[in-house]
Amino acid sequence: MAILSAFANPHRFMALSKALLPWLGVSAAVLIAYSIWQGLYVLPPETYQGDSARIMIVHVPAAWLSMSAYMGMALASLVWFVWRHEIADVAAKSIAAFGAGYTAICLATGAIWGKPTWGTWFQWDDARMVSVLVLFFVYVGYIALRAAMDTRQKAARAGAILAMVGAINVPIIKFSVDIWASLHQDASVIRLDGPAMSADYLVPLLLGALGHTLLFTALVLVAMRAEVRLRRADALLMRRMVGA
Amino acid sequence: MIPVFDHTGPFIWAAYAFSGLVLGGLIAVTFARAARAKAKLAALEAEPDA
Repeated sequence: MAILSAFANPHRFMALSKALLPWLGVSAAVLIAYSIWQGLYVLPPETYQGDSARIMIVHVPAAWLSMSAYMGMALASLVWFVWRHEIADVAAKSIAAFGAGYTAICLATGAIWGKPTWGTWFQWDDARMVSVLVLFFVYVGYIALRAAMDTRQKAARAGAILAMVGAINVPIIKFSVDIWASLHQDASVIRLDGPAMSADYLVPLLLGALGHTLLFTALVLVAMRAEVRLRRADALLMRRMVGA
Repeated sequence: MIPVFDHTGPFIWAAYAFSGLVLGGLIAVTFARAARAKAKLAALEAEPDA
């Protein structure tokens, strides 16, 4: 809790994030460039899927990030709800747009991979696909709900409740392929008996996932720094209006 | 050198292009918003208090 409180200080957050951002940005660019180069130029066609498996280098990291971003948003919302740390609300608000973006990438690349592989872009009775689509709608709903509120406090409160309630969807997404009969294949990387993917694909996929995670973190930090500045500007304006 | 793929080539390019567009858009909007916020706060801080 003491650590959490220390980082909740906006001044400390601004200093720490400023120091971190160049490292995050450069590492993310190198890792993502490496995974794209592997995906497009180096990897051999996969035994069963052929060249279309190259899409997995983008799809799988986006799928992981869409879920982990949501858990981050729900956790930040919980922290705001319990301890009212302003920076937690800033974090939750900032995560939403990037979570929605990665979910859109996951849905689109999944559909693009599905058409030549399964013969369909989307299967409406598939629990994995529909639950990820619901995740996208929850992200969009969260952004719209916050924007519809007339005060920052109301937006934080309504957004936090939606984010926490919506978290129930994340384990549904994760375990949907185990619980229900699904066109979507079972987990092929995070499995109790180890990854069911060849090392050729696994290494660039994992490094790409790390790169996208660092990019996501960097973008969230940039967005948070902007939000902190906007709130500081609003507070300054308010103080002047009261003082005038 | 442009790589040559099997019949799924257009799908591969579409997936990578879409991802690049979304991420590129997010990066551009985020940095534009950050620059606006920085300029807004700097302008306010530069003004003398009434």
